Amino acid sequence: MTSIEMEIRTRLDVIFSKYTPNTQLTEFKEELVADLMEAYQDFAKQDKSHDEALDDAFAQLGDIDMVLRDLSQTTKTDDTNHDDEPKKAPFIDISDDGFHVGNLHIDGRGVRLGDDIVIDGKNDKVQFGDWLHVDHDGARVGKKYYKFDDDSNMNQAHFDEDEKHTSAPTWAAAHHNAQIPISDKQFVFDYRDAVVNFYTNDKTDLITVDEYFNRDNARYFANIEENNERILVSQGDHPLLFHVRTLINIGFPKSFDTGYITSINHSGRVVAQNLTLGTFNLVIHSGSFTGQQIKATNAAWELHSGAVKVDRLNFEKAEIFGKSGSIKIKNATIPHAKISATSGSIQVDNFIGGGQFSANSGPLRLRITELTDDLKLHAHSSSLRVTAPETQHFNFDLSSSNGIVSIERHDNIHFDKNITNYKRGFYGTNPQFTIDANVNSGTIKVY
Amino acid sequence: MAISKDLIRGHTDTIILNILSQGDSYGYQVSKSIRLLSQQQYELNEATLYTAFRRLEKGGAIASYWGDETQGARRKYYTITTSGQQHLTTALQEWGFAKDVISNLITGNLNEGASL
Repeated sequence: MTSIEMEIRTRLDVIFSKYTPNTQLTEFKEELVADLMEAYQDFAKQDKSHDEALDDAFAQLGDIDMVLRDLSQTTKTDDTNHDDEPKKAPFIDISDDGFHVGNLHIDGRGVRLGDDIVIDGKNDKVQFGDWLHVDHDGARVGKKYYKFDDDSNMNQAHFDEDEKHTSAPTWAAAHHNAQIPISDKQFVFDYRDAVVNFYTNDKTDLITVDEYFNRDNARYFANIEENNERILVSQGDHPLLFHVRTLINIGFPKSFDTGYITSINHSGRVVAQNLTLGTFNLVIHSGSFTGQQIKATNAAWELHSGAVKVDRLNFEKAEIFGKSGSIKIKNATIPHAKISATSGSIQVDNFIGGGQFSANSGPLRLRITELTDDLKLHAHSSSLRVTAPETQHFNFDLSSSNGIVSIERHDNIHFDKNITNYKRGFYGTNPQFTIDANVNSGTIKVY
Repeated sequence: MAISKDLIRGHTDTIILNILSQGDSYGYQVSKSIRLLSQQQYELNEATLYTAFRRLEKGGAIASYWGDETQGARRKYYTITTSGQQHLTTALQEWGFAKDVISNLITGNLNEGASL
């Protein structure tokens, strides 16, 4: 048996130890060993250390506790040939993690009764059996589906096809076009529930606004107002009784690096790509944000319940705040970053820069390519895992109130303090910046 | 942008059956196939996948067997059964019919006569 297999088995033993063993659990463990070994091989290609790849392999499994709980209950019911009945012995567990009785679970994620009744505050989802499902995207009642926000013409191809921004979607019954000369004033785009799409147009000094509606009524067109400080583009009338399908394409000139843009959106989605701006601010209440190739001096993003997924960012200074959605960032250069999530996870890959990252209850995973400043990391009750730059030297100061702190470097490392939950020292001979991390009740791992 | 879980939820079984109808496979490979087929737009985490495997196996749509790997851990392979194949065929017919109707319903315009 290879040492990797052994380690995978040991870790699985810990996870499985909470459940009474039975044949199905044993079989499932075998199945996981093979899958995890392969996942490990895949992560080992991008991660640089053994432990890091192993942690990532386990992280991609997702929450298998539900499966384990199911499997550990199956034997008992199989014995009596009542496959669908829950086990007789009541399962009651009340702890800081939540309240669990039988298949009723009330915890930080929401309320669940088996798979049938779900109230998920984190993902804004309500579900009653097979009959009613409601989330951001729509509601399904019985066999009828009502989509809240129509964007089916914006699929993944959308990032590749620029011409899409200038051609009308097939469902459009009305097209409203406005052109606004650029200026140093702040541009505010305030949409309640549309899909808003920011891109680069072919103009030199005009901002283009193209609005498409599936019903033709001039009342729906945006209003544009200007005062001394700002130019406000706000969504037109919006009927309460029926849904008007809306798509908004907003184009900026190619290098609008003095541009000061603020986008406000209540329940739609915002997409941005290939932008060069001065300031790019976002306020999104319940929609999500997807972006690619965005360059700006300043960015301040605030999302209440949607997720952020962005690739190729270049900001001088950025503040990103996610309340309950997750934040996923790839390839970012941000010398002054401030990124925080209240209950979602934060994942940043290929990060160049410094600043502060904090997660409250979701995990924080950071892969740093280069530090250009100090890094301050905080997690409240989750795990914090950081891949430090491969060759760059750094100081570290890592503490956990009651979790384990580990740093997976063996050569060239000096400890001033080295105990289970606190490690301080430096890596290399000439450290310039410090990775300062603390968690309240989770673990810290630096690779 | 991500596909909403609820939008795709009812299709999880069909997705798995479609993959298994093209050859026996195991958990991690199925999850990779899903990423590949969706061009990285959709991921089914393994926990969900194992739950679905179990449900499908119980319903008789798939069966499993242990591989005979000579080195490393043994893999558990899943294979589609005749009943699973029938299930897939039916699901595909239903989808072929439903997708046009749904698409018309959610994007279609009533002609001039539409009164607002």
